[in-house]
Amino acid sequence: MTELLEQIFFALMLSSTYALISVGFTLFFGAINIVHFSHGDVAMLGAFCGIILYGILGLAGLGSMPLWMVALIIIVVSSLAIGFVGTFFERMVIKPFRRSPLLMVLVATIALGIVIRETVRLFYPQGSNPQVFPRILPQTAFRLGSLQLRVDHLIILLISVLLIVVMFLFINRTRAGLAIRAISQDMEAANLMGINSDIMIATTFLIGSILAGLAGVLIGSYQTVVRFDIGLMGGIKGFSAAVVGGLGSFYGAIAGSLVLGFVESLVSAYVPGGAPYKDVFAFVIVIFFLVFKPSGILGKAAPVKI
Amino acid sequence: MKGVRGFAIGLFLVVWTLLFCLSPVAFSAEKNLVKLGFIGPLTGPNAAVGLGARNSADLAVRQANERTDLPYRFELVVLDDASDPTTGVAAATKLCSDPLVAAATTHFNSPVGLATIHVFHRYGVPQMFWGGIHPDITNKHNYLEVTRICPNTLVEHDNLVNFVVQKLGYKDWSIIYDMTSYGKSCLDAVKRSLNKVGAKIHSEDGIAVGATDFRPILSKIKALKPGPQVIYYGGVVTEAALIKIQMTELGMKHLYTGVTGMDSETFNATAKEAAEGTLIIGKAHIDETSPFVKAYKAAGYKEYYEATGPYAYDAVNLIIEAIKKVGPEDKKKLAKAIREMEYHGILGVTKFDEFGQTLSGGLNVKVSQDKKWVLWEGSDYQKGKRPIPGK
Repeated sequence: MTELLEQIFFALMLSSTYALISVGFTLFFGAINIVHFSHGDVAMLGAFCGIILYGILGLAGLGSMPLWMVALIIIVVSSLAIGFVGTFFERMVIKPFRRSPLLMVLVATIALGIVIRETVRLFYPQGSNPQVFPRILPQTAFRLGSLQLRVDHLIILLISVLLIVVMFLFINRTRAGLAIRAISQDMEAANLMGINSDIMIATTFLIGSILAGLAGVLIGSYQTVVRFDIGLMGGIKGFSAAVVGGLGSFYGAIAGSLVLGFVESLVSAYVPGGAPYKDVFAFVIVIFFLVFKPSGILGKAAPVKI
Repeated sequence: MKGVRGFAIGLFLVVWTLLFCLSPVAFSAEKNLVKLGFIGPLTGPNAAVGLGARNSADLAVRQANERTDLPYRFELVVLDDASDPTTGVAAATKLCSDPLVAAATTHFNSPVGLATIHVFHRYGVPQMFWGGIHPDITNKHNYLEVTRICPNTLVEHDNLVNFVVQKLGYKDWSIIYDMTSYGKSCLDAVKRSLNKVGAKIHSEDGIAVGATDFRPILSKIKALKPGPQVIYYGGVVTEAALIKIQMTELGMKHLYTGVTGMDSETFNATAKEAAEGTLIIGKAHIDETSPFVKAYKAAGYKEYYEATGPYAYDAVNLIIEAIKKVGPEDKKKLAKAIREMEYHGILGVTKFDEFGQTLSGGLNVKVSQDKKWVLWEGSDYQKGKRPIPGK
């Protein structure tokens, strides 16, 4: 029983790392109808930003600061920095294609992803090697009945859930969120109603990229090592999770992430010889959904698909 | 007449220039230049090891050039294999195409070596492995050109199993391995060694290189009843460190072991406190006060020489001694001379068997203590000051 609970816990942790990325995909698709393929790579930038910041804090006298303060600074500064970087990318790469077919944006963001990855690989010192993410969260363990849990894992899980909830509330319960949803339904009508679509789109990207930056820091903390190419697989998995759950639906993004996370974890543990092929199993599920229920678990059937 | 004279002068100048361009060796001042190749992972996840080995090979070449008894000037040609077979084959081809390259010392990763031995054999260039422990590198084709100055995986695992099973008394093992040919050769070797001593294997799990989450597998091993005392990992540093970190997260107190793939300070730097108590068969131990270490430090290399540096150092020196004997021009003669060498270096005595495999290789049992690899002999664990992990 303990083992099963433990497996479920780790499956949940894995699902939350995917959810952090898939919610971003859902945000961009649901709000402005674009598939932002470099979202995973922007999250990777968040992880690298965290590593760089830790190094800077170290040079500036880290020893005197308590760990929670270090963690807070890294989380906040990384998220904000990547938020602005993401918005910059939007202005440079995505805005020019606003009136073009959706395929153009897709290809542009794929290219952007390549540029981000290769820039890190070439210019970050020893960029092609795995980098150790600093331990900014408390490493203490405690027992809950027969289960052994760790404080840092719980913090990561908690922040992930909080983030997704905040995102959901922002889109559905605030005026800004309402404006974003209006733009996604009909940009011209929204403009006529006095909504500045340019600013709202930039806001969406700011929020989505802050989420990506934060996701990078959390995923870095959980996985301990980060590489320049984690954004590629992470982005594919996050996107697949969003698609499985229903692109455009928040609950769908979470459902999809749970499906992917659980399939991978349980295959690793219980299918004999399955661990190296866990990705195969996960993507077979994705294909299954695309063939039999393309709108996803919770999505509505859409008339147009790329 | 003027036209003919002009033409003659022009023709003479052209021929004169071509003669210079086409015979660099004949006309250059460095007529006894001998190039030695070095290929290793200078980038990628094993870069620390590759750079340390490169520096050690470079030190050997520098020292050789200061010697007065050699009629040659040596130059080290350094190429990167990035731990990738395709890149390695391209580097090997480039190296072998240069007629001035007499011999090369290569590779940390067995999969790369298994691909490049055919290139070196085709060109007839002697190739000495300073790393890479897959038996097939030497034993499968037994190419004359190929030798290995480090021990192979069968020897390493026999040593490991003899120590852990017979000396420490741990008979119950779980195996995790990576899916490269190195990891699979470790799996085969450890199973062979464990079956020889009658130990019990509770589980076998393969993982993909580049994966970062091993918690499901470890959780499954943790729940096995009666469980293993030892968790063995067959693979290289990054995944090895992550597994140990996650074992610690799960509160697993098994003894964690492996062989030389884990013998790198990157393991301790990545796993930090979690590395404590990991026990491996490590490569040769070189004393801090030895001339090699002193010279290495004096040369001011940025990177640590790592466990494989001394092997690259002795490899280059052995090749140079062979060149001193038979000269660099006839590569087949050189390959034979290398095979027949009995060389005394910092690793001790190096002699090759009928497959070109060294019979010694300076193996040691090492344990991770305070985030550093130390010899088992003299460690707190051996003295009983710290408890040995495993039940």
